[in-house]
Amino acid sequence: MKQPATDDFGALVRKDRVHRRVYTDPTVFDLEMERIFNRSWLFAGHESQVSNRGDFITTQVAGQTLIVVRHEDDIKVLFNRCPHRGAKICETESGNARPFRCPYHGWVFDTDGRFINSSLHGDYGNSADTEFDLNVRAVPRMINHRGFIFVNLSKEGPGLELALGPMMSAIDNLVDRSPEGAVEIIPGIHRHVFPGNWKLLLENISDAAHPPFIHASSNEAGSKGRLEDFRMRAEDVMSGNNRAAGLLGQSKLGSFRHGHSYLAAIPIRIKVSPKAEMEYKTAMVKNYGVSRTETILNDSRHFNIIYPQIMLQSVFQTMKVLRPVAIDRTEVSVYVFRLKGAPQEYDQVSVQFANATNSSASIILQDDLTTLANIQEGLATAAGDWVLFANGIGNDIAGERGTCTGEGFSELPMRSQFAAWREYMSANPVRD
Amino acid sequence: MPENHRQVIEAFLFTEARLLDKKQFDDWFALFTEDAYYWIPLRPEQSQPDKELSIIYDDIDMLRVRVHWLNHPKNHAQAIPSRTVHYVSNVLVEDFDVEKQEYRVSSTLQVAEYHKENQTLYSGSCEHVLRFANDELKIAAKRVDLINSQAVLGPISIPL
Repeated sequence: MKQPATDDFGALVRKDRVHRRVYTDPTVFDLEMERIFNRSWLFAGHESQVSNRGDFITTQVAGQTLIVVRHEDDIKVLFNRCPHRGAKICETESGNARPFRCPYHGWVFDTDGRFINSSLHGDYGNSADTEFDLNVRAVPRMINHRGFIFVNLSKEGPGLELALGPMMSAIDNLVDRSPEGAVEIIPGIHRHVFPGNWKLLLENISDAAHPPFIHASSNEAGSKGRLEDFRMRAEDVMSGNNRAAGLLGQSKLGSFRHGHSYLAAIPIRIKVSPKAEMEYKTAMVKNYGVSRTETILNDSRHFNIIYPQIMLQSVFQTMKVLRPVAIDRTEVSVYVFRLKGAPQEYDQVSVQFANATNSSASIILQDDLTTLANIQEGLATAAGDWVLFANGIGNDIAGERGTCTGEGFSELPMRSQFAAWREYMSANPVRD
Repeated sequence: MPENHRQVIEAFLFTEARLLDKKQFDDWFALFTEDAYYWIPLRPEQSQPDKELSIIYDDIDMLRVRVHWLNHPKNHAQAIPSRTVHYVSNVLVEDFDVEKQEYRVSSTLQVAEYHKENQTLYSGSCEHVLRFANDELKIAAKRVDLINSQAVLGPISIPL
């Protein structure tokens, strides 16, 4: 088979397969940072992390160190770099700044990045009058969608609503599951790392066919555990995984433009006591009415992928955000959300669920991470150039505006991700 | 309360460490009481397991599942088995609750793990609640506070 030319990235993707170089070639990774992560809408934080004026968090997004800060009534996202000599103006992961003061020479900036004054004992000539911009730079685009802070490092390209399209409903569904229509981050972030390419994680999350195989050990261990029927714990997930072969095989999945995809609702839910569930449903109906409450609770998809960075399960109040570090190294942050106005048991159960499924010591997650590392090592082996994503290809049903649906174990989500990948990686900016 | 309690407690902690290093997970599990928990918090000063995330918060049922998984032949994370050394040091008997017959024991812990060409070092402080019943000690609670609990972590398979 002919080797694609080095700069011909489109040739690495075909209808039912991709060239292994997309996972192993560092030049591909560098271009992905420039053309995918610098052009797409990425999660930078949640407004509950910066509740009071001057509260800030620092975070890494697409290789950039950013500050998310509450300035007066709105939230700003700034690059964490002093315009003077480049020191990070925020040294800690979180705090309160009123105003920011650069630790190096004491330059002072308001919480929107505006330069206030330089150090007391300095003569910077008339640089303030020159072309030099003395303000801390803000990210080119930022949108607060119902508390979720999204940034885009490129001035050009579709806005958040257009870019996410029908996938915006994944975030809306999470927020709507709160009787008050608002969520906040539960303290603690599960952070883990695996020695593999970032795309492998999205593929694994979209892969309905793998649980009976790589999760056999935790499935069987879980089935031997004792269940308390009002708690959603690892045993439930694992025995759920056992049933999942059937459930997932019959479920629907779909994809949208720009690489987003979902797995439709399946009957694996958080389990709370009947009393808590009753209280919750009463509060929901009070706010939304009966029919809207039913829609919110029944339409929750099992999994959503907001390409290229977010994996969201509103049923479990859980969102994973990936951070590509290198072609063969990926970090993941897992956030769990409290549904405001829901009984406390919902928080407790979602915390238990997250510990059981998304901690670095989770007996389920470890089998995934180990497998992703194995794939990365396997792909470095020169035994054929192509990776196959053909499952279900004949049965995909194309809808309007780039929508596509499939069934069960279809590898449609991966095909959709690579169609978007190809479009992003082309020299032209992504169209609406 | 035995007169040589300090020696007994130290020997107990050293034995626990050796069971983990020798991968005698069933025997390790048998050290815990039915109401025990095994906790690795995510935040150093964390006081509540159900209002914040934890690296591990296992009650006895979850711990049993974890041990089943560790022993399972299709456990991929341990398809190539880790080798570990658990070092227990700075053992201090903090107090003894006469009514409950429970010792609160603090110690420092280092676990060196070798797995797939990589060696990882975990360090932290440990607190055991050891209950004295029927002439033997059992673990009623074990908490491990890792110094890097909030860092980006790789898989933690072998209990610390």
